[in-house]
Amino acid sequence: MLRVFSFLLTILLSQVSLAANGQYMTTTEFLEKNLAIQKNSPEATPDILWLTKESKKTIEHILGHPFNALRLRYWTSGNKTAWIFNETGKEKPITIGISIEHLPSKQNKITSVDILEFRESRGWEIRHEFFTKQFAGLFLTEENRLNRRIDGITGATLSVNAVKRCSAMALFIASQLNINTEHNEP
Amino acid sequence: MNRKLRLLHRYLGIVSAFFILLLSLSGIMLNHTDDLELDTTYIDNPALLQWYGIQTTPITNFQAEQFWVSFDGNTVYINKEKTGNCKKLTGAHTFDTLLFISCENSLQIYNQHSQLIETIDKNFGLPTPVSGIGVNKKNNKQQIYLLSQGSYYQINSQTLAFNKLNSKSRQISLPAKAPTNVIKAIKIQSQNNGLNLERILLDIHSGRILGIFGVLLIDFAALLLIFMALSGLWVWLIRIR
Repeated sequence: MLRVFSFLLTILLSQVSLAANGQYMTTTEFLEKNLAIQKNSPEATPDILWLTKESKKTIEHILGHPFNALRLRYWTSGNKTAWIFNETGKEKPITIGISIEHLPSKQNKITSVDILEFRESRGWEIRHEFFTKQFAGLFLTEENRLNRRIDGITGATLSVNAVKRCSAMALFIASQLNINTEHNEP
Repeated sequence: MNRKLRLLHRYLGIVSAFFILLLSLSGIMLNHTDDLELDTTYIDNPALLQWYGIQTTPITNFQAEQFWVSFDGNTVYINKEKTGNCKKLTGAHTFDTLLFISCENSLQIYNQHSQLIETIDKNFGLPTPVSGIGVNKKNNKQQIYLLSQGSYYQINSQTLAFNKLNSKSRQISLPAKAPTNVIKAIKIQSQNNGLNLERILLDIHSGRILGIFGVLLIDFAALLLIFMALSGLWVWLIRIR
């Protein structure tokens, strides 16, 4: 009886882990949730931020690997911006959405982190609120690090680190918007 | 007994000559790997690649004005230089001083210096899967569009608008035959994670090139050479007595 139960439990859990990777949220849902931007509204068209050489260097330092893009897209609503990045966990990219509140003191802070899509078979636990809610309120230190430690998840270290890197990067890039005008083509 | 040993030494010596030559020559070459550039000489012989279970993917090429955009099954190359990854290259076209490269799941935009400007995927509204890209002139104005699931979408790379067009049939860029030097350069880079001469020589030297049978054969050769050394010493000792 115990063997049958163990077998059924294994099957059930394996199905759960197989079903766990996939798309959890579309861009439209992410923008609606965090910036109250409706589909097909004017705010739904993203703005462009051109990156300077110095910005790219800092981004590469934060990410720990080359960053091959000259511009990024972001959405704005009021004093909030939203960003979507693809960052590799172990082998495949994780699509991460980050919304940031811009404050007059320039200490911009994260309001929300959402996992839009997860493509690997392990580490998908990062999509749950118990993990992502840790990022709310975080800001960037002078060393371009998150100001607070994030509790990891056993077996999802690489995925956790990918989210942390993207969060720090989003805060850094958002700070560039305060300094530069919004359409600053080099 | 001594006579039998001398005869055995003589005949096994003939057999061991082959192994001595094989191990000595491969050993000398391996000792000079750097000078002979064995580790940077890559093999493109189909039979050998097949023996090692290495799949060779045909290289797809698109020409977009001065750009040759190539794809080896994993990596995109622009004018022989590695640029980025792609699931499947479906087209390339220049438009308004930019180079647009369409992959099945993304649209990559490059400037005239082959620097990536940005990659657009479905998160930014790209209709997927993308099966082609094309440019045409309408009302004296050029427009760039992509093909996805039988429908054409005009691309506005500034606003990221993908407006569905009413056309039923439009021209899209097609694969082209790249010059030999482009193909060769791609193949070399593509095989950089593949099979080199050093690997083959190491496997010949150890016998692994023939699997477990080869390994046992070289073990036998080693025992044979040990026997040759000992029997030779014995025969010499008997003689000087």
